[in-house]
Amino acid sequence: MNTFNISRFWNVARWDLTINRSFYTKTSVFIASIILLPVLMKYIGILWFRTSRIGTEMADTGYLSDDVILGQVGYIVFLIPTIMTVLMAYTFHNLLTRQGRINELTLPASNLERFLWHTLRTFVGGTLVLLASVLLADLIHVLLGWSVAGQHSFHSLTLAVLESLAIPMHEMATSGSYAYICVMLTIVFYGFIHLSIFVLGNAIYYRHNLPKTVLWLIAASLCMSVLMGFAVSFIAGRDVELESIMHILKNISENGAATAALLCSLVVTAILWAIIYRLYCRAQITTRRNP
Amino acid sequence: MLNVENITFGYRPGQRVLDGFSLQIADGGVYGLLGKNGTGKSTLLYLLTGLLRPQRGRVMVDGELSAKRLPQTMQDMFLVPEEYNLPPIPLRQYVGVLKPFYPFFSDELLRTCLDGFDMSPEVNLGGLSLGQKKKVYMCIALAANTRYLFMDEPTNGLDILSKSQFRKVIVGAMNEEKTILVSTHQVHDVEHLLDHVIIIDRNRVLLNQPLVEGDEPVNLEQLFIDTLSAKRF
Repeated sequence: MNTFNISRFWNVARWDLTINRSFYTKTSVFIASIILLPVLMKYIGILWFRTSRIGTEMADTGYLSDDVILGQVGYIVFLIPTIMTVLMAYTFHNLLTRQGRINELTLPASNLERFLWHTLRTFVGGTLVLLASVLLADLIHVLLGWSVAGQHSFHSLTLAVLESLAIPMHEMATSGSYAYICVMLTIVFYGFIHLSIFVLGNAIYYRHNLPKTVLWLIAASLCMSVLMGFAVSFIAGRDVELESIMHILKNISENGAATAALLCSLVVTAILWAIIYRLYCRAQITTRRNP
Repeated sequence: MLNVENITFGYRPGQRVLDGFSLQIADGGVYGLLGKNGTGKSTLLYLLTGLLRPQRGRVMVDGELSAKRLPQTMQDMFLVPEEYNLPPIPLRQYVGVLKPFYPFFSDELLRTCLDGFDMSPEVNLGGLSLGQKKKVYMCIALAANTRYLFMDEPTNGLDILSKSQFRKVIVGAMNEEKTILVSTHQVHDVEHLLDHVIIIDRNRVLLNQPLVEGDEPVNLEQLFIDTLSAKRF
């Protein structure tokens, strides 16, 4: 039975945040550190150039250029999905040890309340920590730029990161093309499916789930490639002319294909989360997969 | 009432820790759960608390399947496992986040139990030894005031004085509505505490009898040996 009580849900949140305070603090500090890394490296570079007297001019012009900012933005934009993937792989980190499983599974809260909390904490908490880390990087960028490089105007890292993430959304909203919107939403859902697969990995394996999920994904990709190869060779063996296939593809409406792709991604997402929830509800203290 | 109905459970295919096992435990009293190594005592506790699901049969707690882990069932039971690792936070804070889940949690009982173990309520859980953690956790379990309390080898890791304190604390926290099920090999540590003894094998209950007050004190170790010997013949 899936009972949901909001006050119990907040009690679960309070309980989880309290008993795992040290873990969450360390994780947040780690995320902030890797986001801060390029900003710190930049100013360490400037100081090194200056103290080694190789070229103050190079330090002040080269290191403060827009290219450097763009490089940092690229690094952060690359890091965001990577960090989110790792965070997703730790959605049910309470189940890692036997004692953790006892704590988690005997807590008088419904499966739904605990599941929802862990999912929201990972998604919302992860996003907030990432945003706070970028803001912190921006603040340090401004402080160091002002004190070390004597800058008075700055390119905001936060704005640049948000812009780079928002441009596709803006284009989607203003395109007016139904197919374009569907394709963009499918891409968004594809990203979500990718993250969900790592949550699924954590619901199946409580320990070493990240490398195991990656290995399963590689194996699944190889199987898909082989299947595709077989399909292509099967079609080729049937003497089907390429032109006739192209003709069929041309006749498929753009909107219909985009809608089908979006629906497929929605269905896959729903199935994935149904499996994840079922596995979470059926979690036990010891299983063959999780001794 | 705890009702184990014809359950079969194994950790691996082909292996049976419990096979066609049934047991009923009426409400009220301290029950001792005894058995040889590997007969499924801890497994039975995990099945009762919904931490394991039987492959066959069912485990009911007050008419509800324990495997469902319903909040109203879970708030009526507490498990003290053999080993326990507490988070490195002050006890007061830990109790503060655990208390809302247990409607009958008693701060007074917690203080009494901690006093019984000579423990301070101002401790940080991170700085405690294994034995101290166990004592603190038992105090929290008793203070949660749940109707069912399951303890797996509660005296393991406790020194001689603490074992004596343990008995006094349990007696002090006991009331008619509480049912405590203690799984142990340390029969001497609990024999004066038990109202009832259950000796199990993997597929049956070898002995399920009350230890009536006023009778001659029961030598639990001898009873255990006699029961197992009788099973052989």
